[in-house]
Amino acid sequence: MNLPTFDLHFAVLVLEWIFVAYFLIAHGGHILLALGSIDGLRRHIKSENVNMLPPLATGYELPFSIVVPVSDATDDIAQFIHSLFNLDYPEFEVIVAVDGANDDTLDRLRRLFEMELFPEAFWRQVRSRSVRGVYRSARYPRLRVIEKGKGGTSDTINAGVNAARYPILCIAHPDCALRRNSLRRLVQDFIEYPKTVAAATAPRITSRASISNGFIEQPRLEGQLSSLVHVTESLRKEHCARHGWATLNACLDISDRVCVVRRTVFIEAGGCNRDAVNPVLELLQRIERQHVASDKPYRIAYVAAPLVWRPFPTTSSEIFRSIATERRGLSDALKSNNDLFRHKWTGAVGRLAFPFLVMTEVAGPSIELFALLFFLSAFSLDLISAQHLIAFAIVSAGLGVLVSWLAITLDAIVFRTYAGAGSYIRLFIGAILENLGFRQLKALCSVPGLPRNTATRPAARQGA
Amino acid sequence: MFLILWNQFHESMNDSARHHLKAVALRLKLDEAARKLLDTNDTQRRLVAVIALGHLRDKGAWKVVEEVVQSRNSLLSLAALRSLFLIDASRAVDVLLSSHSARNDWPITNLKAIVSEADSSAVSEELVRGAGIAMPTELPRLIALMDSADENLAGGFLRTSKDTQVLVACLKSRHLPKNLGLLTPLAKSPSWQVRTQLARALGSILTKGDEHILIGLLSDDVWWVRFRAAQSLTRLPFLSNEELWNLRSVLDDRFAKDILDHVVADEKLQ
Repeated sequence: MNLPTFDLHFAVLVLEWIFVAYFLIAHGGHILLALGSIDGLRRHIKSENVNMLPPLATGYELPFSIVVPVSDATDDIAQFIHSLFNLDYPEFEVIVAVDGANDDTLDRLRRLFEMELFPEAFWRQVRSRSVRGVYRSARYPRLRVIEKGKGGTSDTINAGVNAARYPILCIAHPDCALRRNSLRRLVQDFIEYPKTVAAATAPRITSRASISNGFIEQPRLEGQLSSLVHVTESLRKEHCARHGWATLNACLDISDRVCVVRRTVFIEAGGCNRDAVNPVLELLQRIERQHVASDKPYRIAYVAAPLVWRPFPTTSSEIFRSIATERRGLSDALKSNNDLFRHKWTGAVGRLAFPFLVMTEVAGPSIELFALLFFLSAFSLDLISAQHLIAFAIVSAGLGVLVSWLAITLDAIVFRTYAGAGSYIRLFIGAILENLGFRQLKALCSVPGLPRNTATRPAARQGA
Repeated sequence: MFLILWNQFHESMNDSARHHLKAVALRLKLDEAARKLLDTNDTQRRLVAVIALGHLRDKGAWKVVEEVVQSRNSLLSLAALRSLFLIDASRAVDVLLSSHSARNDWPITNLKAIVSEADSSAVSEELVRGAGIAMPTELPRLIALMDSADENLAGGFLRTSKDTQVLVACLKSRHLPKNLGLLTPLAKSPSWQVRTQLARALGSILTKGDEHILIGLLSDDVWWVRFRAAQSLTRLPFLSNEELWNLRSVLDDRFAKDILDHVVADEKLQ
């Protein structure tokens, strides 16, 4: 009897094709998503002149409840709250929910905003830990501060929402700076398309010095090389993924820093999940899943324009930690809402976005790292030729650079996020570095079980 | 860009200035420019055009603006409806009556603002006529729009209707009948929206001795009902702070006491 012989070269060839196919699908998918978002970007350019003028139609604005979860001592919290008061919007309230403050955050807020304990009849609509006190100020009638038992970010958001009175919620983290017209832009989709249940936007990254009194002045690119590469990556995600998916109403990967959702939808969904790594992302995916399952029409809007800003991470380890946390949050949310994939009629969100994200964002880092190790070791063992290695480099890194350049070009033409041609030249260089080293390092720190990734878990739990 | 600024100026000026502004616009043929803009696919441009044609009271543009009312974009369609009301209010009511049942996306507050901007006598007659032949599902929004409708119409609906939306619309009406015999049974309505509106409405019509209806609502299961009842109670002109305090001390229900404390503190802050 002849046993089938193991053909090593054939196995290597199959693996080569599998990895090349992965990179072609991943990068090709991102290019298609970028092309798909061009129509939306074109409309943005046309409407930009109009948006610079006073609002066209006033009186249609829906009142907002801005919920600010405060988990850790934040120096800029007072500035952030002051910046919210200066937002260009007719009717909104600000609810600052302080999560079991064991520092002087609450005292500082009470002092700064002249707040007194208020006998609020609390209305618990979603589960949250007991509220210790509600503070209000005669001088700042829009502001309410809630002190509650320690329970993490999701619990803090839920407590804030329980105190909210208005139909539209804006969950905003205090490490961001909002543009003055951001609420007007974020509510636009709710007014124009009533089936809109939520709207999201991603923060752009800028130097800490360009944020003054909670507002962004002139966005600048500064800091070390790793920060520059981080900006490149965030622009790629923005213009070659999220906006494209949103065009198909299939946006599953949003930033949790600023998110707008209808209050009734938030409560019907059961609020933020206390076990979620990224509570806001998980909530939005759950809302999508519930609407798909009950066959209810819905729309999750995505605003690609720069409305929200975050300062550069200060150290490389901070960058890698935030990447790992982000990835863990996405994996956790996709795992919790995997019915989106299993449900029969999920459309683009379940059939395209879900598997694509699982492949490129969840399994992607491990595949990319394994592919790199495979090609290098196969070449050193003479199992593949130098041409094959070069072809792999072109497909993996070359196409990656192309995708990043596409994102940067779109940003330069449409949004001009950063001033001056010099900024964009630096970003183009950053895109090369991102694909020749940073991406591989990132893959390494994102592989489950590795020490750097594991070390981020407690911080991720608190959802900093 | 000029048309946008022209719209802004028009919104912010008084009638005589608007007259001059209109003359300038007609001399510059802005009406023609606006009609051309309406032919584009760009929502923002169409919005600018439709607002301008309304301000210009351009009767010749009626047909094109009427087509925009059917737009799926809520903002654009509402702006077009407002322009129709500015051009010819009595004709525009027909457009409203024929379209509003299919447009759940039109917020009632915006519709009210549009209707109230127009000549009220011509509009209210048309709306009463529309209510007479409307389907039950269309009634709530029509009643809500009929601020000047007489008490008998609202009273009739309050007596006979079981529909939450119709009852809420009647309770929100400016000419709510002051007949407590008609209103008190609604305190037991299964709909919390009806009870909330009742609590709100009672604040302006209760007389001394009738406050027990509101006190009962202070113990409602729903927060909003309790909140509105407490607000109405604290705003009753014949109830002094001392009487309110005495009333609070005899309340057995903890939720009723809490909501009263909340609203009293709220009033003090303001």
